[in-house]
Amino acid sequence: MNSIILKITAKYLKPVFIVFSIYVLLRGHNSPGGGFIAGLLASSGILFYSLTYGSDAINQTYLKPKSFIILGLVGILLSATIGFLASKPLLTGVWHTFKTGLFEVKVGTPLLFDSGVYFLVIGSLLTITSSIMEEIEWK
Amino acid sequence: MLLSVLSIFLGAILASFVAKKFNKSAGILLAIIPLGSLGYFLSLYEKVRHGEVLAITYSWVDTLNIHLSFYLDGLSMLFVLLILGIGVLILVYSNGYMLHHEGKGKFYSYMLLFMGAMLGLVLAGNLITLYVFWELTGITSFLLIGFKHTEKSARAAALQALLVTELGGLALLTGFIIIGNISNSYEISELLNQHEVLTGHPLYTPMLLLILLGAFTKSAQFPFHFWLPSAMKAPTPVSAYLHSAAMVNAGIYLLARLNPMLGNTDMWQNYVTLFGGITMLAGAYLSLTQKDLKAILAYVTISALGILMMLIGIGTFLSVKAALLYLVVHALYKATLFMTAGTIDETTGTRNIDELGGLWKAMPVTMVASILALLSMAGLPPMLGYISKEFIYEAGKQAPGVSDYVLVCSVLANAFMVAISIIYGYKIFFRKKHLNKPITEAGATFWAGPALLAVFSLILALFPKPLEPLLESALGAVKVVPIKVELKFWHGFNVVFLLSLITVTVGVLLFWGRKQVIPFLEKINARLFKIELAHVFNKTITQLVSLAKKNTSFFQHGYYRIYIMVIFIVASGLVWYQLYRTWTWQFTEGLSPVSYYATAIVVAICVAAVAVAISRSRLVAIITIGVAGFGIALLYMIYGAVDLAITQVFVEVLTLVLFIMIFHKLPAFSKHLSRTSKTRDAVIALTVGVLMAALVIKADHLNLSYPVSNYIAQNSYEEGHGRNIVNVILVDFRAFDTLGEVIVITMASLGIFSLLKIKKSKTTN
Repeated sequence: MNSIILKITAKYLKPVFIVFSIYVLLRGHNSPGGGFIAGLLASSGILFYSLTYGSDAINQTYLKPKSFIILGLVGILLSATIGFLASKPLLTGVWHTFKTGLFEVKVGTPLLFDSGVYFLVIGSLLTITSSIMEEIEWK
Repeated sequence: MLLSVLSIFLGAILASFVAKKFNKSAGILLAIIPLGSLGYFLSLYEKVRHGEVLAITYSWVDTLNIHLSFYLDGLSMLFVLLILGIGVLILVYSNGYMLHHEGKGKFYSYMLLFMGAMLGLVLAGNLITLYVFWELTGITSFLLIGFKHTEKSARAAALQALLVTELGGLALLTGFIIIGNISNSYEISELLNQHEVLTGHPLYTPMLLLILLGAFTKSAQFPFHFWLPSAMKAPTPVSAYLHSAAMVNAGIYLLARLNPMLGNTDMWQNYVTLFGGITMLAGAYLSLTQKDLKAILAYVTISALGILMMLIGIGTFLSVKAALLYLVVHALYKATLFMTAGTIDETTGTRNIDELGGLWKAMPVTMVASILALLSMAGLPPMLGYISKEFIYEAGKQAPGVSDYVLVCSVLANAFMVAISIIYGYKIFFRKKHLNKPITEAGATFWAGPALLAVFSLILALFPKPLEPLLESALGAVKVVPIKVELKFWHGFNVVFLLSLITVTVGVLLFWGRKQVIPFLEKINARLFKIELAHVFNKTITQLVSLAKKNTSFFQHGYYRIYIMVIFIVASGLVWYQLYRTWTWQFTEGLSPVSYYATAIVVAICVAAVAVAISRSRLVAIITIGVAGFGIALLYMIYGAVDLAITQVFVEVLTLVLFIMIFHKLPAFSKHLSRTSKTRDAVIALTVGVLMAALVIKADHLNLSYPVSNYIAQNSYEEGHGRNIVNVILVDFRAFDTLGEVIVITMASLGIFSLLKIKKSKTTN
């Protein structure tokens, strides 16, 4: 799509989408958000960009779609096995609290799991859209 | 014990690396691993000998009584020593045999995997553990038989072996589960004193039949024997191992192991003895007319397995004793013969017995090893085979009820064996025949293994004392009571000796008249075996496949419209039926008031839905669907499901974008639907829609059990460390569900990807 306004907008909007999606991912545990929504958000950003710049833009964005899927699966697998290694049932959440004087941060495997979902949603959506775009030769 | 099995699997992983690094001596190096295990088990031998049982249990699926347990008694020990001892020699032999073959690493890897699986099978102390290893041997033997995967016949043989043995494997699993249900345990040690419970149960008959099916297919019993001769497509070391110490012995092991639990009933005796007897006779008889060295040996193996089955079926002390001794004898001579056959094949380039001759001068070591093994096979002194044959006759003589049949059949079968042994030895080594290329003895790794085995078997025959305690402890394991075993050559002039004399005489006579007898038998066979079992089996499989194809093309026709229609009709029909049966009207009570903006949104959604159905432009339809979707998202928002609302919005956006993207590629919107099909679609749509509404109403007052939502709401922060309940449910409380969903998403995306790519590559070609 050869519209200069769209091109410029998409170019600057994409990072905003990504950053906001990470924010949504991280806040997800306490307020609306989470891996699935964040993944949809990030992939809409990338999709918006590639709609204006053509299907190749998807493959050139950060990672290839399938690498996103792999990253997601690895994250989920890791989060599942950490609980398992601590001799609890598979996928049990394991939490650790970091105290840094001023405030404390709780980190747990559900966050890793959520990030896995995040990457996996991005990867899957981009795989679908990029193969459709290649099929119809979207420019 | 777990370590010993694991070490062999580890060896399988290392194999391809070792084969690459030490090209010339991979087999010898890898043989160190089973050799080490062998040493370990020999060190346990002293303990086991005195009737001690070594058992280790690792917890696995405790709720189903399934444990990863190992159990080592005399019987297991006997098999372990055979598997590892012969395994080491076979690996050394493969070093020479496979030297110039491609994919050596893969070969050793499969071989060790197979060895590990066999080892696990005979060590397993839990029926389910045993089953897992049982299947593992099936799969690894599939890989080994099909090792020359570029040849079609090898692939077919591998598939045949796999299908036949897996058929039995599934039956076996069912049988095991029945045992587990009856006795509430899968542990062999616990099952041992459940004999009355198991044999007295009404399900005993199906259980036994299923287990026998498993054992018969694995041990190549009639009528499933056909896979074994086809399996000789494998490289010779594999055949040597498969036939002598591994795979086919699994069924024998299983029945020997289960004998104290399920045996000693009329049914067991009748079936096992009958099928064993038939197999014994058929195998020995068929071996006479074979031409290929390996085929001859394969049929002899079938016959030997038949003898073993028959003896276990009889189930007396004497017969089990004879079976255990014969097992050792057979493993020793069969491994030797297969290895020498492989050597002959390698050096002369042929395995056809009619093209061979006069090799005694050229290959003295191979000759001596083969002759010793053949003597054992024929059951002649001074080999161990002679003692075991005496035992077999002794057992047959005292078999309760069936003694006459057993004796006649086994004398006949043994006479055939004598004849084939003499023919085999004579034709290969002594017959005057000019071979068109000079033959020399093959390298040391070729003859070391067979020679060692042959000499070992000779020594054991002359000094059988060390074998006695081993057999005693194995016999003790099968018959539960300790019994003395004595091995010696001369039992005095009695009926058994007379039978031996008859056997040898008939065998020699058969050899004498071979020029008349064998063509005659060939003629008979050609008439008799017009229908080959292997052929029947293959045909059945082909028909099954074509049936499956028809079935698939009927259901997977590729019309999206019809798929959707079938799914909707079936699903709504079933749910409607259930709703109809349990319907009660009580949805009007206790509803909260509906605000005017919610009503407005619902009205908008309804209007949009109707608009979609009657719109004449595709673009309008897509956008109106979007309206409905956003309206639903708003409803979610109003009723507090923020996460759901956000997700809905995104999904709507992405769907719209995708639609618009492919929009101009779609064919023009046409009104090709007739009035009747439109009515039909409308009816289906309305049924499904009303069903969903009814379900929602039903769900509102249906309390199947205490709702879980309260628990989650209360514990979300304490246990899940999160205030957003939806998210905590997704990633923590019900993470396993999410895992499943995520996998579905991945599969779907990869599916779409490959669908589009396949289409693309088709069009470009």
